[in-house]
Amino acid sequence: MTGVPATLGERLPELVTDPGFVPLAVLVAFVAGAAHAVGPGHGKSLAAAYLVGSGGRARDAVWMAGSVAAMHTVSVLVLAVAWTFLSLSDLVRLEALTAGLRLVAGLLVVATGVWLLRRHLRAHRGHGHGHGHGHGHGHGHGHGHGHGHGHGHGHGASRPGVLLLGVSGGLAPSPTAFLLLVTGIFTGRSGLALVLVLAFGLGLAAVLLGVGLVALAGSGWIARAAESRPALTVATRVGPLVTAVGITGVGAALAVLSAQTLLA
Amino acid sequence: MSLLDPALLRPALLRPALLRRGLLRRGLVAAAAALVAWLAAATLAAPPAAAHPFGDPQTVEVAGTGDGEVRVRWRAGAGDDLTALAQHLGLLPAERVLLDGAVLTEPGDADLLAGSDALSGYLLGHVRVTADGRGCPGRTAPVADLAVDGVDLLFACGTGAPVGAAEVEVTTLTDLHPAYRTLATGPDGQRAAYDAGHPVHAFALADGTGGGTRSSAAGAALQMGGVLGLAGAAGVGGAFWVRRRGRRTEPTAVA
Repeated sequence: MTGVPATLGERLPELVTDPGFVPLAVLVAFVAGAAHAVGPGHGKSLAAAYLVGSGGRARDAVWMAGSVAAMHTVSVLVLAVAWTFLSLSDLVRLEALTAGLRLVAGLLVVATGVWLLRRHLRAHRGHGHGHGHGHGHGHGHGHGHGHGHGHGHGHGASRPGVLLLGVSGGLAPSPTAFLLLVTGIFTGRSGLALVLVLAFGLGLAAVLLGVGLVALAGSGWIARAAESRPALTVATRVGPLVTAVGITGVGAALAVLSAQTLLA
Repeated sequence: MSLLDPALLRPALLRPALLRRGLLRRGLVAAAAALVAWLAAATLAAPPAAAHPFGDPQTVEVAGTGDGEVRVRWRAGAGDDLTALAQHLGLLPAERVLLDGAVLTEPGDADLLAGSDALSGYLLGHVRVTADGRGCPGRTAPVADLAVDGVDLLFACGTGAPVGAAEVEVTTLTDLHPAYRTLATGPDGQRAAYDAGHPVHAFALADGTGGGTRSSAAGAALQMGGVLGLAGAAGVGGAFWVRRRGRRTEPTAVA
């Protein structure tokens, strides 16, 4: 393994030990956060599915991305401080702790999915124009663009659901960000390290926001196209239901995988 | 959009805009399709639980024993680091190494490493202590539980008198991968971070002697509290600005 080059993320703690030009270090941390978010995890698929399935808007995507960044920063901060000053590793190994956090994150996703499913079913049990998903009503009746959009976008994704998913996405911190902050505390540069962790979180949020916006744009086009195509109309009607079931399923899978890691 | 869309009947001068809109729409669809494919692949290819392996970092604790020795307690951190070291020292059988060079961690790896003379040789070759400009000869104490307690390295730096200060060099595991770091603690809250570019740090081992970086909880709280305060103020200011801007543009949108 000798001579294996370190990746950008792995080299991030060097920004604390040898910061150089600080704004450049902040930019590098932002890019590293974005690169980290592009990899698997952090709920990109779930975020996109939830925003589309619940008739979310660009503002909801911003809230979701912001809550992931905020939760990730808080999570890294709490873990790093507890590990450094409270001898956290004497109580629990970090592998077990982060598996536990992922279990909680999975359960939060399940809760969001179940809530979304319940909301969808309630809306259908009531009447055609009830509050609920954004694209099924109005369009399904084949009349009145304004009417349909008014209902769908007026209620949209709920803020608690958006925030729940955001929190679950940022709950398990990135090892790189953790090591970055711990290195900062150990070298007496915890302030700079926290700024870099914030920039890392914002980079992560930027990718999630981009994914959310592209998903919303794509779903918006499909909803408009559905006005003249019966098959797409059916797809937009069952889409939220599929999304709710899918989110619940993915959340359950996450929880089971994390529980397996904990019990192993 | 249907073929009888009135937009298509507009003068030809407006067509480029239509074309652009069509291209934009097609682009969005392509982007959405690519996104769905990518997300599906990312979700299926790697389960999130395995996406971010997370373990304790490698640590050393530096202390003077009061009888002329310096004790450095080394802990590897995550369990797979011990497996990687065992592989590096040639202690794992060839069949444990997968085709891509990866090695899966097994529960007995720590014991295998602890029972080998190679571990002692490796550690004494990668942890060195210097006091008063002279290198201190080292030895390893018997290992009880390598994964939990680590290994105590004892360096004889004097003739029975307490050692006032020492320079400690740590290069463990950085020969396996340059990204490895070691977080070090010393007496009175001294802390240091070792990496491939910073392999030596000085520690004060007796009262009144200089050396080492003291990073107290209060100092860290002050620095990080300041950053959080500024970030919070920026967030509140931004939210206030967005809300105010929204209120100002709302009547225009309705009109």
